[in-house]
Amino acid sequence: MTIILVATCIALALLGFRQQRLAIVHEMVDTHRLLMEQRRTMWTTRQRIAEACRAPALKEWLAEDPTRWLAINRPWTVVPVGTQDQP
Amino acid sequence: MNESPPPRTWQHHRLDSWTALLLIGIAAVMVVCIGRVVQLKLTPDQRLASAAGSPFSTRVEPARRGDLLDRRGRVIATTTLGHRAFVDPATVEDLATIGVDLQELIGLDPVEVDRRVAPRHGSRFVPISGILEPWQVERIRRSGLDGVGLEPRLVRHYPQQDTGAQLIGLVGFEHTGLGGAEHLLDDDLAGSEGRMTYLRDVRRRPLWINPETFRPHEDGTDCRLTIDMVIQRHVEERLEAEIVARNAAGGRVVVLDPATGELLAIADLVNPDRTPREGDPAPETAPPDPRLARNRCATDPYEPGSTFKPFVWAFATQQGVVTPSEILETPDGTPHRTRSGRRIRDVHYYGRSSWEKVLVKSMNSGMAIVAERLDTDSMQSCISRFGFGTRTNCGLPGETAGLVTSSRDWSSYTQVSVSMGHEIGVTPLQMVRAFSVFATDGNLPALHLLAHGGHDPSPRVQHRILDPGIARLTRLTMRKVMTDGTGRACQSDWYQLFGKSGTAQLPKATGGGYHEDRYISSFIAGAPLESPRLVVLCVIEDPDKRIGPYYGGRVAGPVVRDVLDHALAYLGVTPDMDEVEGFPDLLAEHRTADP
Repeated sequence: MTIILVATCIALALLGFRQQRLAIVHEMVDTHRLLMEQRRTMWTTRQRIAEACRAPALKEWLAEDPTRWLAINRPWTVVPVGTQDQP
Repeated sequence: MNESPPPRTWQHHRLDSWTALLLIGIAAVMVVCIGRVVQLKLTPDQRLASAAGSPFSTRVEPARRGDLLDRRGRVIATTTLGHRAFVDPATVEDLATIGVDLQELIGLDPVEVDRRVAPRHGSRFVPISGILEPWQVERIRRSGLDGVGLEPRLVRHYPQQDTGAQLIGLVGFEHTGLGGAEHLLDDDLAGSEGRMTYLRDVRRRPLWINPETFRPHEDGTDCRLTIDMVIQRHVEERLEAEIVARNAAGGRVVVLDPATGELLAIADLVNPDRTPREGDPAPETAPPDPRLARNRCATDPYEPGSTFKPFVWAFATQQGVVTPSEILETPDGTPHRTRSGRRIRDVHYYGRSSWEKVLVKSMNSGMAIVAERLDTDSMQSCISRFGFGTRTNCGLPGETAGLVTSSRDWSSYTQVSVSMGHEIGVTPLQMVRAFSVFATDGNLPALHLLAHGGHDPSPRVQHRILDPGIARLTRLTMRKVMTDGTGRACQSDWYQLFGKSGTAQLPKATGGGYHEDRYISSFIAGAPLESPRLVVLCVIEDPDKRIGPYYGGRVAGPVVRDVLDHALAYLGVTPDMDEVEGFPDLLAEHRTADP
């Protein structure tokens, strides 16, 4: 009877370890899948940003409200060296 | 006092026997079960084996193709993951209604679905759609429709749309580069897909991942081109306006940074709406996608005409066979006759003129006089030193070396013709490279399409081919072309341009000479005068003489001027014209063709 009880306990413990291992594998695979999905979402986001930043799209956006252009303040304006405002 | 155990009766013995029998029976059943499991596992029946399939599953992780970026990091080409729907006819509940079901679910055409599925009943994979919209993918996922699945596929996007189409190229079904930069940089852009093999249970859930067979994906590398998409777009819009207004066959523009050899824009357009003219060649079969068209700036040579004169002018001056102030016996009203008796005509006759005036007024007679002072070897050396007859190797596919008459066929006729830019074929890329010599005080740059510091290992080598003083002198003389010569019609209000116009007769497509009244109009210029930042070439093919002027200075010149004004302002180059403040308006609509 003792032998049967010991064998049962060992078997249950082994089953528990196995189950734990399976749970870990499942979690790993789920995490991997989630990472891949996030990665794909990032690809799509990059593509959408690129579409929105096309020159004609920006031009249209600026044309909607002229103050937007003033806010950008001509980034290509040349400021001679040494004349910039000191912080 | 010890009590003796009760005596075992015959019932006890009988119970022991039954218990022993039961245990033996259970043990026997367990052995049989274990044996059967082992047998099924090791040598399963064929039907069972085919039904169970492999206990391993493989998950493929697609590698993302690298982005193509312009010089400022704008995305030219990028990749996302899309899905297309497929049907597995073996597991579809009712093949007769699958088309209607999919129409209700995601709006597919049921006739088209049936047309695709019907002939392939035996297949397990029948694609039934292109790349689906996200809402369609979501609906299929939620529907649980038997036999309908989603296949992930990489999708290439071109956010700049058709700007620089031939230059950028495209990818094929397998996501490999088929043309342009996509093909050129395929090795860098393409990644390698990942693979994960795992042991699965009956519900296809992973039981164990074999670390030895796990291979992570490697995404492709982003590649940065030297092209600036803002300049490229403006160039294409301006060029299109010109060729449409002139009813021209097409046009080409190249914008180059002479100091670094970086190509900022390469435009090649044909006019699909052109009114056909007598003698036009049969239209070429259009490629299925404009991105597959060849880039004629690299592949198709043209006769440069007078835009070639500055090279001979500078070389002859450096050789000492003539000085800028020397007065030449150029004719006054009648064509000049060469030693061999060939008649050389000028558009206008100015009489005896200085060598400087020969270039400013683009006098063929003056060029012919000096060409005859040079020997054959010198003239051929002039051509090769400026890089004509050799490819620029900038990386564009299909680049040609142009057409230069061989030493064997070289005659006195050739000697004079070449000095005027005839009997020689050059590509636009060769022209801007050679012209850069005047902008860099004598250095011939190596052209590049890949931004430095990235994947282009080639060094930025420049070869000095002209004395700095001669290069500068030629530049100043070409400034006079803009103020007193053939470039007057296309002067900039903002920058001091130096340049040269060219008008060459159009060769007949069938061979055998030139059209009498059809031309290739071109203009090449750089700016600002003191420290040039850009060189721009424009070639307009066959502008309609009935509509307006056809000279290079009147047709291609305004395009070059507008492109330089826009690009220099965009790059923040301070205008160098006197009494000018501020910058050209970058948001202003581009000018259309000048009258």
